[in-house]
Amino acid sequence: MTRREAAVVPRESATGAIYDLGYQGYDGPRLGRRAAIGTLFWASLRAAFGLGRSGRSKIVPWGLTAIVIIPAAVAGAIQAIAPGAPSPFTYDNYLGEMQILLAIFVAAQAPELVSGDQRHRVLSLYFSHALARIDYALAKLGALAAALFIMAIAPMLVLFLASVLVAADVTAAFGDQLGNLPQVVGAPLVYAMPLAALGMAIAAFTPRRAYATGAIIAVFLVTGAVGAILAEAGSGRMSQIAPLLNPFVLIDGTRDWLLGATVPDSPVRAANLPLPLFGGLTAAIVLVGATAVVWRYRRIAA
Amino acid sequence: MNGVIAGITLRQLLSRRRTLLLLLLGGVLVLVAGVFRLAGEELRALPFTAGLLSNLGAGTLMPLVALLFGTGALGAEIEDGTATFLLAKPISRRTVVLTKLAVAAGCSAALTCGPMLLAGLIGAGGLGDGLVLGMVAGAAIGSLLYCSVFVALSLITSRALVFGLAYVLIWEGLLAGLFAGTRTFSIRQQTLAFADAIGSIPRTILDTPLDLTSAVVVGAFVLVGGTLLAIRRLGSFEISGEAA
Amino acid sequence: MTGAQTATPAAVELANVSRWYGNVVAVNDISFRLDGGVTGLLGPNGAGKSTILHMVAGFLAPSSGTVTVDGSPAWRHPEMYRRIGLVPEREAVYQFLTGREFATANARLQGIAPAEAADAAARAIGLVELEDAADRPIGTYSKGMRQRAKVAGALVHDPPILLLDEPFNGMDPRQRLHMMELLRRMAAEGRTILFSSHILEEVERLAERVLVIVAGRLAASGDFREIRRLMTDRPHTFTIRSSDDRALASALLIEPTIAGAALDGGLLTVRTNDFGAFSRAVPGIARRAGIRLHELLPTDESLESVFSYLVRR
Repeated sequence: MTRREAAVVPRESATGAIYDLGYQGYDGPRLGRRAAIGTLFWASLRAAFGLGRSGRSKIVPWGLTAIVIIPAAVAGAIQAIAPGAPSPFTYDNYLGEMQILLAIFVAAQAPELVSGDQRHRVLSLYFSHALARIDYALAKLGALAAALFIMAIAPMLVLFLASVLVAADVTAAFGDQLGNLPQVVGAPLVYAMPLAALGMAIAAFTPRRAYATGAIIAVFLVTGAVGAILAEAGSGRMSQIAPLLNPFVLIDGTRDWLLGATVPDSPVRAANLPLPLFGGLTAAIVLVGATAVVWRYRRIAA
Repeated sequence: MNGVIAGITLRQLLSRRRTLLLLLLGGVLVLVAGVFRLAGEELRALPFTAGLLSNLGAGTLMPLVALLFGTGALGAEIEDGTATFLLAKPISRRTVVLTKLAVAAGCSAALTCGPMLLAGLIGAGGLGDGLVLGMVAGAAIGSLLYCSVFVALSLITSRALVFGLAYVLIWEGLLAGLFAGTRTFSIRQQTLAFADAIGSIPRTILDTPLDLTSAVVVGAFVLVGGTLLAIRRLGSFEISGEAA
Repeated sequence: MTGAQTATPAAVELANVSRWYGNVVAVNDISFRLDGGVTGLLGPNGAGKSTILHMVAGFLAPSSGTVTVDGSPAWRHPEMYRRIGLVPEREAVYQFLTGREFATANARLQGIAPAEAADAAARAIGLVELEDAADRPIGTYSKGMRQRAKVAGALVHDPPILLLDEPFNGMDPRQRLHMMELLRRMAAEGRTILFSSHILEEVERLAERVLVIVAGRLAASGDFREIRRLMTDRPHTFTIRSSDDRALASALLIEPTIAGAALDGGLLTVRTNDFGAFSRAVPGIARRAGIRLHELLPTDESLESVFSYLVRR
């Protein structure tokens, strides 16, 4: 208070005057690094779904999330109308079938989270605060993984709720379905982490949004197509190893390994390789991707 | 067509980074063919090459290249504001659209057909009974069709790249697997039908559900419709001066 | 000033033009005619200057009213660009072209034959004094150089009408003077020049005529000096916070320079006709009355408030 009163009278000379508008520095407590990371994570997660932005930037994330949910909802509705009808979808195969949608989400939204900051040269504004370079990298990566997790768990929850609600005895059905919870929660996690790490690693190196989107989808598509073609046409060892080129197959294999899922005639089954190999390679994708993102932000001139 | 616009567009589209990225993609195609050759599987050369050119070539390389060029030709210029220079000239918007489309399609075809030709020659160990030439010619037509759609798309939404991806991956990929009817309106399937007809490829090698007549009809519809839509959109395109 | 047809159509004419985006009105019922000379479009950021220029340039359709250039509508009429040179505000220029290539491309797109395009480009580059950098890619240019390259591109076909959106942004004082000189000379040759600016001083030095735009409306138009006089003669308003507002108000009202005082919601607002005398007198008055001043704020020294004063009149 005293500070304010001391300077209220305008300083003046015969020809000019400087008015004290009451601006003052802040010297109260500060929240620090952890809060900065949390804020950036939260803001980025909201941005991934276009929250707090124009309606146009919501179309893509919400549209993709809707498309990924629709088959589960339709399958649930069919169960309700014709109980016991065979459903093409299970907890085991659902996310595997929908991987391409998760990939489009990554290709569209990973650049949305990071490319602009580089292109408009605002990274220095972040790094001049409590936030360290590694914090920025991990907060952005975490936000993308969390967004993917949300998008992936939504249809799994729909499947879960559908199978509980169509049952005549809801409590008993709930008890039965409870055993599937590790699948419902675990599978989205298995899919979200490697896809986010791979996508973010590419986006972090590409300041132009359009190029980043193109590069991410190209990596997903080309590795997949090459893997499939070599597996089909090659011989012996080559056709066996070929599916490992495809990150989608790697992730499917990891899910089978960790969650004990089985999907008949999937490329994982066809490859006939030990499942931990898939898990190891997927872990490598996560580690290498995250390391690349961190490395990039360590080096980048802000 | 306008030579000056074509020249500027060409230099714009073939920037070093973009060209390198796309050549890298095409290189994968050639590399896979080479790996297959080295593994020495002479007997299955034809089905392998057919799979390579139709899945990785026409199914992946072609839409990606066309997507980048098609949405980049006009869309990128509108986004960064350089379109003002082009549009403040006594040149009809139709000429602008047609020139941009021609250059985008030409660039796409070059960067798609080149690697496909090379990969085909290596994979099939020759022309493979018309398979290679048929696929290359089909891809040239497919590039034009894709570009006409993507140029129009880039005048409708600022996120044309993502919507284009969604069309290629969800409509032509996911849905075509579930509902065969969607294949009639799939540029990828039209490309295969053209390749089939041009190369007179035995039906067993290239699995094409579309017959030539419907491919021609729907293809012409896509080309004319996309181009007219793009001309209409650009004709009444508003530039507000504020950064988009 | 109405949209009535005259014998010879004006170079640029707006008749009851409005433009809105959804619910937001950007330009509200504006009419004016321009025929030769330099006209400045003055207004704070977001007032609608760009929208007006873009409508004249045929890049935006008016929501109502008509915008005509040489008698024919600007919207959807590419042929008119033969008579218009446009310098947009946005920075973006083809980075990979050199200044000379950019000017030549503009000339060719204006329909100038290839043989003459190079000469036209060289002349335009000379006009903006860009010869030294003309053969470097624009990507390597400074802000001011890029701005001059844009002007060269707009001048290359020697247009009778020149539209410039914030043309002096990024220029250093010397370049600014040179550009003003150039525009003045071009106007003297009988061209019609319309430029926008939010800086009073730029408009004052260059424009013979001003159009003041505030919140999408035409607040004032005409000779610059006349408008300037109206602006400075207006009463000034201050808000004051003190230890005893009521006592201060009555003390102030005795002063001859005070035109009025009002106590409203705990805020003392004072109007004066003499800015300097008032600010010198207030501290003394307060001290004599034993009142402590906490705050003394002029409420209307920004350009925006000058404009809003004009609007209220």
